[in-house]
Amino acid sequence: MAPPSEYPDLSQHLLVGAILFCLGLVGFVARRNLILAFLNAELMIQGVALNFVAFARYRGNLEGQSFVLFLLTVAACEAAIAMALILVLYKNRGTLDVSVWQELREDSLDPVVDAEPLPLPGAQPPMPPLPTAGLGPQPPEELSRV
Amino acid sequence: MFNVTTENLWVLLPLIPGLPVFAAMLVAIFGQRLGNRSHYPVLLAVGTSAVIAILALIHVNHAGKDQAREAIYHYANWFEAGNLRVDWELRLDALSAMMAAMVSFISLWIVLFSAGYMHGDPGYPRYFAAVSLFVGAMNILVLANNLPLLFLGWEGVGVCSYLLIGFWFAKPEAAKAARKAFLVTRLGDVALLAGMVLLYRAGDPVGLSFDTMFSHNYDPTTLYWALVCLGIGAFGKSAQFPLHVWLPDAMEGPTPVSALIHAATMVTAGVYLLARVLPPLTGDAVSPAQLQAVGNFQDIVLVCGGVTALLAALIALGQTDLKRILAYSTLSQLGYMFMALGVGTSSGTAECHQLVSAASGAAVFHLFTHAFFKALLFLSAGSVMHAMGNVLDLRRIGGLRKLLPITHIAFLIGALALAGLPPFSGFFSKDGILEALEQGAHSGGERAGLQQAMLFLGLVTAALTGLYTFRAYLLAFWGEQRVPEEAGHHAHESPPVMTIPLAVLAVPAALVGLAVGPSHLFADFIQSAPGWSPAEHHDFAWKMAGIGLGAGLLGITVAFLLGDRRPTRASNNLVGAARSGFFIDDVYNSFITKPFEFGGRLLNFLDRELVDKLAELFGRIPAWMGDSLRPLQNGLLQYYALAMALGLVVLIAMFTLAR
Amino acid sequence: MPPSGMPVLFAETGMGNPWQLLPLASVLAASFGVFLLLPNPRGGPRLLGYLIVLGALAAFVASCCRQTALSVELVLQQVFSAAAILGAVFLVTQSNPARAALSFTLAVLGTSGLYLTLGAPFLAAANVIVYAGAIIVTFLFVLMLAQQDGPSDSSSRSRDPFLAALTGGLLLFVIAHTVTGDRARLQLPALSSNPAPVMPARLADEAGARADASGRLVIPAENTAFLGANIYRQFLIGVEVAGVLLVVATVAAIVIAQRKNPAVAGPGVK
Repeated sequence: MAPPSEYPDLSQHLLVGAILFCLGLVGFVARRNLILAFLNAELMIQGVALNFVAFARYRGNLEGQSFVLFLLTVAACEAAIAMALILVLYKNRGTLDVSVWQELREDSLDPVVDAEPLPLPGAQPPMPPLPTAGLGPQPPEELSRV
Repeated sequence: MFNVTTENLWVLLPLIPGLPVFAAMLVAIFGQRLGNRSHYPVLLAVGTSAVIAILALIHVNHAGKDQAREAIYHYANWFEAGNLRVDWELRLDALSAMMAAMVSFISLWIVLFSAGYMHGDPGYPRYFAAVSLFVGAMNILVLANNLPLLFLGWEGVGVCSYLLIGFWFAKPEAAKAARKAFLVTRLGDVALLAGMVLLYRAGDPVGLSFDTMFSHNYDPTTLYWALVCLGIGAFGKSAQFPLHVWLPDAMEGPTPVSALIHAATMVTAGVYLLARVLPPLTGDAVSPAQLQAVGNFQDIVLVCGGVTALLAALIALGQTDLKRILAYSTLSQLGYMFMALGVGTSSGTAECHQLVSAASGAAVFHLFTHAFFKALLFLSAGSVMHAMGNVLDLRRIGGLRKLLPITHIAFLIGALALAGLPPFSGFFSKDGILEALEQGAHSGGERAGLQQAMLFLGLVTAALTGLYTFRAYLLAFWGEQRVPEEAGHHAHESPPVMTIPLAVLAVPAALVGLAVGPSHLFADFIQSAPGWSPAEHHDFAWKMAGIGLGAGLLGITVAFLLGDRRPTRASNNLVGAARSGFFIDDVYNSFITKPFEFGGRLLNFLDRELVDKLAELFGRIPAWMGDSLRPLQNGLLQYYALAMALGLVVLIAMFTLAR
Repeated sequence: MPPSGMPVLFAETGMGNPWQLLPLASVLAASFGVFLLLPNPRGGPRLLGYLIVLGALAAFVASCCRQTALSVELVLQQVFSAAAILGAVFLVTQSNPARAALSFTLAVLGTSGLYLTLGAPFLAAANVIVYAGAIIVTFLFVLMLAQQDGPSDSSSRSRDPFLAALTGGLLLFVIAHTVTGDRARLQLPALSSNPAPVMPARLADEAGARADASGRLVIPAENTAFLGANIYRQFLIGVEVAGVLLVVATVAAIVIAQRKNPAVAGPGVK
């Protein structure tokens, strides 16, 4: 077996870029939230940018890095306009689900509907019992975490 | 008078068939605009070709009595196949000139009659186009110099007879009758083609032109079969037993059509064919084997002709429709002609040639006179139909002699000629046939016995002929006057456009026999055609004439005695059998027609279910493909992206993974 | 055009060593794990999914470390790669959108670290500022404006998880095979794959690639200066166009998201 080389191989960086790209693809195709779908697209762009920078490093020039600079610029513009559009779409239908937008289908096809029911939100917590006099009530548990 | 010479006949002769064909095309194209004037082009054309034909006839008659009277006019090459070369060639000799003149002349008067008879019919132009085409085709048939060109005319008259029998095609019986006529004669046509091929094989490498065809020996067996096939063709066209079933049904067509096609011209094509072919085949320097072969064939012709003659006469006795009686009488008379064509002898070449020529001459003479008086009879029946509102049932009409005087006289003349009473033409021609049969019975050698039997049959048929003819005449024109309601205001004599042809045709029906028979003019003329033996001038055979006349008179007497009595209960079955044509039609129906119809229905079913459904299946494939691919377009953005990604994967894999 | 014939995988490896199947196995396992982890209203075996994904990641990292000598650079590279990949996995599989957005931040930090090890410090900083600072904050704002509480169609469901995971796995496998396969067979140009670490260089020698004493390629240490020189000399028009693009995007975003208030809008708007 050959002695291990001093520095990591180019292909490893390319593979990481490829993994990011493919994961982004999976997420873009699978997620139904408009915003999350777009985030996955941004992830794909990350993978591509990593590719460029790796090639720049291993070819010894700065072309790749220049391109990534422009890529960053374009990604920022794209994000801005995408957010604006998503806001408009949300105002139109009241939901961020991509699946409500199916008007481009064939006339003879029925719209795709979800079969499985969503899990019901948890039951309302009972009213907190009154504490002994003198102590303030506990604040209720927050339902959404960030 | 315009001088007809051999040189300008080169131009004039093709006009005889050409003008009527051209007039047919003219009327076919401009028929809508011509309307009631459609008969003018046809009259003009047929009239001109009649004039040319008569002039040609005179020319042939004058063209030198000692040389063979034959002129071939060559126009162009039709086709060549190996050793066979067939050209557009017309032939003018005694036989073809006589036939052309007769056909054109009778057609002219029948066309004139039709102008009156078919007046007011919505298919007026179609009728005249078909009739004109028919006359053209018949002329091609008789003027052709080779068998393929004759076949062209043969088929042409077949098609036109289909068009004209089924003229009122909306009536189911007429359409059926037209189909029946066409299909039965089709059988004959196929046989004729086979006969042509066999004849070519038999005489290889002679070819099929009449001028070169007969000058040498043929292979006897092949010749026999060739003649049998030609004979079947002739039987089909001339409605001999067993292919006679189409002629009575063909009466569904208009009466002038029946006069033209089924009395005077088309049905005589078979007689013409055999008359053209038989005498030269028994000519000088012919081998005994060939003679034997021809003799065997003639036996068949003799028997079929005799059977037809007798059978048709018997059936005619049971008919009540005037046109049907005339149709069966046509069958019967055609039987006579074929009987004459079957006369021959097996002893000696020269004798045979002489006998066959004489008998064929007698057959052609009877053809000639029969054309006139039968056409006359049919036209008068048409006149009666026109007056009686298309009713011809003898049980419903009667006593018309005061009402339709001219028609009455015309019918009477025709009936007398048909029954064979002197001095009318039928007497001489029928006598000629009986004489030929008798000669065959005397000197026929091995064939004498058969010819003797046929002679007896001919005499019996002569008696029956007189019987049914005069029964019809008496029922229609004598007795109390009965006019059916359909007649309406028509019950008067026909207009001149219809009675003039009657008068014109009555003259030759009455007199032509007397003019050219006993003086041997006709026989001399016809038998001077190349390949025939010249006529011998016998004395008039008073014995045979007397016997024939006696038979005819016997029949007429029985007719007068019977009057208009209904058939008795005892003879009801017989009469019923006769009326249905002795069930021959029914036999054909069950054994031939019904299986074919069944086969046709089966194939129709297969075609609809299998073939059409298969074609439909192919048509459904694009739709099915579309339907199966349509769910891909479900409007979901991410689905499209997925599809794109999968495509990308496949593409990359193709480029990088494939070795 | 690809040569004809059936695709032969791993032809260059000769299949003698079962270790060669590890990349394929790990890719398949990873995609299966992602499939299990994708949001599902019924819930699913999330623990199993995480285990599978982590195992695949470990296998990947191990395979990368096998051929390289241990050094700080290698460790850093592996750590940042793992962070990026983990952040990506969480982004793809978390149902809560806010958590997913923050996982994206982790991924961005990972790639920025990788830029650092690849000799692009300016880009590392720019990446963090633009992505983690601007884009993700914007996203979180919009999420805040638009998101409903609790399980909903948009966060708890996936569109075709199986096909999506399968496609991702296939694509990854194909790319991986291309990248790591036999160079000669794939007809890729010869590449010097033995990079030198970043060496300082002087500004004067800025044109093109430079080689050090042993002939290995180097990129300049004054990365920002040289990057700036590169883009303003070779890609000047691109820079200007990018500026215009930024302005246009700003205006467009404002116009699109504007509330259509009749009192505010001009005379042309209904």
